[in-house]
Amino acid sequence: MIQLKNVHKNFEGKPVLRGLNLEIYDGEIITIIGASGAGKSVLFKNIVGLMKPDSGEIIVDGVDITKLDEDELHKVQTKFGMLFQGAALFDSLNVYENVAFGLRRLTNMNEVQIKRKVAELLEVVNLSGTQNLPVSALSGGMKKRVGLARALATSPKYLLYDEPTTGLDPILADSINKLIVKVNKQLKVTSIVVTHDMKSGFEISHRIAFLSDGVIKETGTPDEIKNSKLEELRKFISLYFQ
Amino acid sequence: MKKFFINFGNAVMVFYKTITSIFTKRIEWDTTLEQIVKIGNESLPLVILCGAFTGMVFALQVGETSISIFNEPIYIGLSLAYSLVLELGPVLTSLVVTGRAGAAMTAEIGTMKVTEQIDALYTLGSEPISYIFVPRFIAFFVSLPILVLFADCSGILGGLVVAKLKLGYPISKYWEEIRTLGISTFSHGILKSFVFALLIVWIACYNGIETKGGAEGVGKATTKSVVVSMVFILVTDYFLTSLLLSFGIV
Repeated sequence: MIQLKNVHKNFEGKPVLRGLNLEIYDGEIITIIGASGAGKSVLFKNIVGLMKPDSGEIIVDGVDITKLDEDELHKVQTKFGMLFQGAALFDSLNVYENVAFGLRRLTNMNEVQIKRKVAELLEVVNLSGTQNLPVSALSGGMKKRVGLARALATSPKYLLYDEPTTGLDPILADSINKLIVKVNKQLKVTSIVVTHDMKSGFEISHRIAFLSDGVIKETGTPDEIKNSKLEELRKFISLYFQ
Repeated sequence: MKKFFINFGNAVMVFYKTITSIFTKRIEWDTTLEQIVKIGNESLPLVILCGAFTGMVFALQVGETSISIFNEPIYIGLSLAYSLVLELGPVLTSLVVTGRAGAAMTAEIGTMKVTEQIDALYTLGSEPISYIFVPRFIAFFVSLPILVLFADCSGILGGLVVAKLKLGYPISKYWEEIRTLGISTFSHGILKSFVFALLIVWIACYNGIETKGGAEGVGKATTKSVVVSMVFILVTDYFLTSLLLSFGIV
């Protein structure tokens, strides 16, 4: 379980998170929605420990990660897998090396086992046989799927998706949504999704959280969010339901 | 001013963490070897070319000047060898490597930063110090002295060609003068190259990891890295030379 308590984060005096509170339960898919520049990516990076909040607590499985030293934090960070907006594949490595990266560092697998595992993961994301392709030869959708395979490789407890369907055509976006649900069901991975894509958010989530003005203003199931009385939220999602 | 001190403090922390990491954490030898080959491949042809032409122009200048004063070319080998091994070899090589490998390094790390590849490292059981900095620090520390030796040799050979073919200077005399170089003279130049290697890679890595913004940020970081490295090399050279001379290493 992840708990964020009264989290504040400023950039050069400009507040982005202003006392944010949120609880993320094990095994759920929670989608964080909000306008551009609302601080969704900042929230993400704080959860993983890539950014440190100015104040507040971020408790991951009972441990407040804001109080950990670097080495302790690195250990907690290995509980997370992250699918970055632009996939963030290492462009000096090929597909195989990218997916094998975490396996080499976080598991005791030998090269034969790693080879097998990489093949399995690429099959899960429908990219079998692409092991030797350089990153530069991949399309946007393929990059995201390789990024997902890489994030899944180390069997993380928490998987964070930063705009997983942005820039993809509807068919590819749908296949990524299905993958998120499949991964959540099959591997029991807690999934935290940040997206602008309302269709995706309402289709795949167990819960949705609405981020605005640096705080979570509403959380609930997709139905609860749909019927929310919060005017700002109603306006935000109205276009999707028109 | 405050920003300068914060930057300097951060840079010192990066240096300290990298050096301690070399001795306390697992070293990525594959990446280190890759980096050594990369730095060598990128810089060797340039270093040899620059070394050779520096030797050639130096021999020409010394030869022609000595002819105009003494009516004959004298001490071409001697003056060339000392200047090259003590100063021109390490300094010119470092400047060339800064412009070639140092710039490429900052651009690569900067691109990794702005495309979130650095963030990705943390969730994959790694971090930039051990995966990016340590291999590059070791690679530079190994490569630069070797490149300096190549520059020294190509400079001496370039000087020999001009001395013999253009000035009619006897080869035997040239070599006799070169042979007066002692181990201490060579170690003076090589010691400098170790320090310059650390300077270049430190500045390149730090500017890379501090990159902000998109492609424009990468460009700015790369330019800054090259300019700062070049200035630091030239300034450090004076103080380093004074220090080595005070220890009698000449």
